[in-house]
Amino acid sequence: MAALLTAMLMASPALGAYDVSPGEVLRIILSHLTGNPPGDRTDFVVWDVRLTSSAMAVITGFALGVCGSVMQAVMRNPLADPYTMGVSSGASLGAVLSLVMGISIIPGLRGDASVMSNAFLLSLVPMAAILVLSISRRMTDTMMILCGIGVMYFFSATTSLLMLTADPTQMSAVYSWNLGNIGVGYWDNLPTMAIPTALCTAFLMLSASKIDILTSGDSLSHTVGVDPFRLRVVSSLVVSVMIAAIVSFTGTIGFIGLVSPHIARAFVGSRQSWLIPASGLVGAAMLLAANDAARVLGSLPVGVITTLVGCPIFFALLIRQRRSQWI
Amino acid sequence: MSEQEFADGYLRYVRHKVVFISAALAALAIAAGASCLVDGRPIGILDVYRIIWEHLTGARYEYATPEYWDDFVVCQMRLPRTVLAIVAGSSLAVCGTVMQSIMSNPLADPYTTGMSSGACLGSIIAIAMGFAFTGPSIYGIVGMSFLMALVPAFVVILASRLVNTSPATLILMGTIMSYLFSAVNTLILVNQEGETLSAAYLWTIGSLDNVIWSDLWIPGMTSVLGCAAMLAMSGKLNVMMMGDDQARSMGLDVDNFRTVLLLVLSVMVASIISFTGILGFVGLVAPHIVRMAIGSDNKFVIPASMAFGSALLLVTDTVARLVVYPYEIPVGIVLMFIGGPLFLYVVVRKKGYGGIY
Repeated sequence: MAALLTAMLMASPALGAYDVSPGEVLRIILSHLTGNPPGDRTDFVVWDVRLTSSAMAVITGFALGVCGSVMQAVMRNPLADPYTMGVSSGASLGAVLSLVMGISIIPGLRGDASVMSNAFLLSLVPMAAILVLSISRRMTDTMMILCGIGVMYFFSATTSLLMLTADPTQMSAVYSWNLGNIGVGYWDNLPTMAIPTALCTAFLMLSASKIDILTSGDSLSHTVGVDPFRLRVVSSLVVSVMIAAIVSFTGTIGFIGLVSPHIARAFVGSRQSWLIPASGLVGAAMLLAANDAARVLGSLPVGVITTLVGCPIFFALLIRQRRSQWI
Repeated sequence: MSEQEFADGYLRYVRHKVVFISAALAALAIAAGASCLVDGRPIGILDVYRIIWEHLTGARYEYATPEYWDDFVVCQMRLPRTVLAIVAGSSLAVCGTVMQSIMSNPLADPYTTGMSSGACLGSIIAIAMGFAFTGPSIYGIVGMSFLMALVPAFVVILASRLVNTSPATLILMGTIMSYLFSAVNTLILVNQEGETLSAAYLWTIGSLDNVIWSDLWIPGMTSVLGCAAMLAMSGKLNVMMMGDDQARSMGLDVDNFRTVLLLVLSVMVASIISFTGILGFVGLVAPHIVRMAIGSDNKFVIPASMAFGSALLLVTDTVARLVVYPYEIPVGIVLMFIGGPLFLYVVVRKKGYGGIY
């Protein structure tokens, strides 16, 4: 999987309106790594435009895949995903609040820090709502998703309200951002995305065995000494951090987190210690492919591609789930 | 219980509902007058009613007199919007009521099942690509919206026939379909210029802006006919609410009835949405509030939610125009703020009629 991903990462700068051969791509990347960049136009296209975009796609896809796999396990819900649970919509509201209105919920922060802290705080709201409701009454998994959708309606109304106050000339950018857009990346942004993703993934990997226990039921996990509620809260927090770090740069990209765990599960089974990295890699590969497709088709927002692919899969899952009475 | 007591009991039962419907109608009349007050020229609320009445009774004024301008402003500039709000509100509320009954699903509504998004996509396809069956006229736009609104309707029908779907599953399908539609929407719009895009974006939120009388007759006709048809069907809708098996045992062809009704609903939704954009949640909010007040007998719920839905849309539209006066926010956003929480409430409350799960 990792090998395939590396190959795709190498190949992806070759695709796009400006023709570059794969061999040349490899040469340019190697020359950068060995410390003497050629500095011509092809170099700029490959290294500064396409490779950054691809790297962003990989990180975003990885983070979404990991989040999806953890959320599906923790909520014991095959339809869970940062998008369907409303986490992404909360984060994007937070980001818009900061980008358009310049409001920071934690006073005194500016720039990226305020975007991310806003996104993080608001992405907690839907998860908190779902967790609180699931304590007070038994919720079926579809019910959780419906709660997520309800919260999402509310948040997206607020987001659209804020966007209307935005400059009409920004509208196009804002619109595509709303659907998830990787577009052109910048090397400066990458650490802000990569570091939280790496740390959170590491944390989730460490608690993978506990999450495994949680999937077999709340009462069972009580008997082996894992507090299911605390684990849910902690992992939701971690997931929110990751999503906040991603969404504030890319907008809401749907369905990667939903689909990639299901694909990965077909190959590595459902043990979290394998599933988390596998699902992350599948997510990265899928988003990279979607990003390439979007660029080849003429700079579409990548969220469009993932939605077009993800919706039918969601349908299939939904129908199969009814048949097998998974819930 | 003697016959006399029984008759008295029924009278009380009816009176309560008639009072509610009259109250809703009165609220509607006041809201309609109030919505004609916004914008520019100061005209008192009583004057508004007087001007409309005089216009209807055929008063004509000499050009450029103050009376002429009062008449012009109220009847040509403000009234179309009010009428559109009434038409759209009543029609969407009826659609919501009927969908909730035929799917025995308290969350159903043209918006949550994806029909509105479908209709909106249809209009955008027709406008952006100049592609429509009867040429790029207004009929083409409505026709295209109707076709796309049929897609979610048929998915709903197929799903209810093929797999044993729960109401929650239907709503999930609807939501997913509206994601899909908005993705296709973006595909179409992505190469348009900033201004077109901005207009289209506003339209996916829904507003009652820029209406003239000549636009109104298509939505007006379909809603009047559709609402009348639904009122005539209200007895059968009551039977449907008891569930498919019960309805079958009482001699109703459940599957065909549902299919026909969904077709009619698609026409109604398409003709409204292609003029206003997506107005979400009117069909969800109005019937629920009405049912809280007068129970769930469709003979009364349908007219009551018509009145209530119109009043709701008028009030929210007026609020949307006043909040940031002299600018306005699209009424769709205000509706979402009301509808989202109500949706959550319906999902999580303990017992509902029929129950969702």
